[in-house]
Amino acid sequence: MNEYALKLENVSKKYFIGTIGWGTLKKDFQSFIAKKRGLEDPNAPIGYTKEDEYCALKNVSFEVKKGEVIGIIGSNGAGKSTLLKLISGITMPTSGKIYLNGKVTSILEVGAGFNGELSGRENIYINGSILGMKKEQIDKVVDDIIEFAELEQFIDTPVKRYSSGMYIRLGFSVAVHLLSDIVIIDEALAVGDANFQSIALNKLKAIAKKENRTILYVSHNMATIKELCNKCIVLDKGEVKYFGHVDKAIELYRGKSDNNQLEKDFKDIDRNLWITPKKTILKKISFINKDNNIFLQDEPVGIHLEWENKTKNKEIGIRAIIINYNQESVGSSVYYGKVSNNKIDLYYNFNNLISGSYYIAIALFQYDKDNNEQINDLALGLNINIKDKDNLNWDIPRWGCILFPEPNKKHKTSK
Amino acid sequence: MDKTQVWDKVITTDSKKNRIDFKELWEYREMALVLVKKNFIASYKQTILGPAWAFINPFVTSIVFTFIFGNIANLSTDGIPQQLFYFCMILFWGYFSGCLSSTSNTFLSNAYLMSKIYFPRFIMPIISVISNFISFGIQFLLFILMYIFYLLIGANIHIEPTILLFPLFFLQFILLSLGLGSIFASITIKYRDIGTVIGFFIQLWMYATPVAYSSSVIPSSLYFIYHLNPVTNILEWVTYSLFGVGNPSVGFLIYSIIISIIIFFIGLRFFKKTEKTFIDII
Repeated sequence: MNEYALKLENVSKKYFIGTIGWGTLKKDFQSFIAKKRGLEDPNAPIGYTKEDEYCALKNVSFEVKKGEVIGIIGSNGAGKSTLLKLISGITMPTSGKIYLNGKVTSILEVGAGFNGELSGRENIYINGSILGMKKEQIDKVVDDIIEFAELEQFIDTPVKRYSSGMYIRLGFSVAVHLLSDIVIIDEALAVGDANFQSIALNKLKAIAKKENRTILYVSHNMATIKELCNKCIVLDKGEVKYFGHVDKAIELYRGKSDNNQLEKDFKDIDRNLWITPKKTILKKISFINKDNNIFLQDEPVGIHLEWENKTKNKEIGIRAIIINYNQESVGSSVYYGKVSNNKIDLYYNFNNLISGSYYIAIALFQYDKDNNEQINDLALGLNINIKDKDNLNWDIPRWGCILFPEPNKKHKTSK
Repeated sequence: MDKTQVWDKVITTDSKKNRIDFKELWEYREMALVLVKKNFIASYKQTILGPAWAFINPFVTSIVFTFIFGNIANLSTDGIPQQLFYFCMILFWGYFSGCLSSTSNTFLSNAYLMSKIYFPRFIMPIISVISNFISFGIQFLLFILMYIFYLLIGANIHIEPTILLFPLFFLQFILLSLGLGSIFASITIKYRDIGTVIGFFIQLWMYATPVAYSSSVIPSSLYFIYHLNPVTNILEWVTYSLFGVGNPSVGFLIYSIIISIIIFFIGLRFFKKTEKTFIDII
């Protein structure tokens, strides 16, 4: 009895960069003849080398048990979509084997295969049959599909009349109700409003638990990965860097090699595309009197900051922005004042921040003659870990990252 | 790997299996039926005449042929009423060329769907074979009416018992179009210029087949070469079965059956090889 749903053995996928061949038979023939005669290829641009192969996946191997929900994370270009395409059977690996136990449904794009002229109901049957279901099987679940998508009123109108939200709900509903053992979702949840996303997430959780279906979930949204998955794969440049606990995977993906850095030189840090450092430029950041980056909740965070000031204006604004694991800005603290020697020690109070791993990003700004704020530089600084004094059981995605003080029963009048 | 593990499916390029998985195709039969139905409904929805459109085009073409090939060029149709003859040939050729074109373009026209969902790719040519057959059926109804009409006005035509071989003729059309179409399809995805050439080639092929004239106009010195075209033989036998005219060769019929089977299996290999990674190229 095979308890595994999926197994990859040394799977690699190579793509050829640029156009394959020269596009027309005539040109390829010319190149072929030239090669046979030992001449230069007349169609190749100058300096062309045949090394233009791109390895999207390198020796990927892993196994997934039935009923597991596996998250797949990695930066753009890491190979996530390629991996899903291979498992779905849309294209073939260049080498290696993929073993499947059960039918695969992929939600690579919601509503693929829908025909606008036909009604929602008809499209359910079409989509279902393309995904390999028989009519009787679809008949059994068609009402569930319509109910889940909340489209009872519109199910018999042509799909071309649907709003994009309705379209997505229908597409997702069909894919999720089909009898498959392995469900693959590629960031399909990223479209649709927040309400839909939470409904979809809950449905996926229910499927995994109650129906013992295996789910592979690719996303950039760490909050959903944490909520849904029991294990997580980190892909980087086509290789599996880690396969295990979700928290560790997320940390690894976020580059927690910065983990223990107590100081940083800003010249090594890339800025965002829309920031060109000017006028006041960040130089160094470090913790004051710390030998690690772990802070208790009521411990002040002491930061030493140095910068270069190319202007005559010695007044500077320093905004410290706290960023959480999901790359969201949680809150900021601002210092504004005259600093003549271009360095400062600041002690921050992040008391209300809930325990977890955060980045402090620093923005330097000044006011111009019209009193408008001009941001001169902005970069990610150090990583801090807030430790829980009280060991609260906290649900970050739902309750946020800030624990506000307990409310008073009596309304305090202002002093 | 634990030898006791049993897997439903293994995806790999190392597989020696280079044949189309017919069992899988059978499992997706629902998809074929649903899509055939959808194609039919979608093409006639919101039109005035509905399915009647299926025979307007061949009917008008047969009139044009009658005028140009029958009257002006005065090519013989062996005593069969010209318009009836042309209409009939156009229907059969139309079925064959329709299946051939659809199959040749199957990867290009379904590229989007194939890049998002997995299904056995060969189901698409099969769908066009069935859809085209339905159109043919509608057109054939009109043909039957015309046939009766011409009988009533005294045409010298009768049906031969070889009409029972029709399933065989259709099978040949199907094998030939699927096979050749698969070969064309694999070339077309890489070389777009060949794609246009193929369309053009199919048109020319029609003139090398007894569609616009009876094969009796071909001089005897070219008889052998002319009959190397497998479709020629099928159409001659169709003419004989429906009109009782002509002297089609049994030997060449057997030849065209064999050729169709061979081309079909070669085509399947091409198709199987292409479908693995065409998504990366297209």
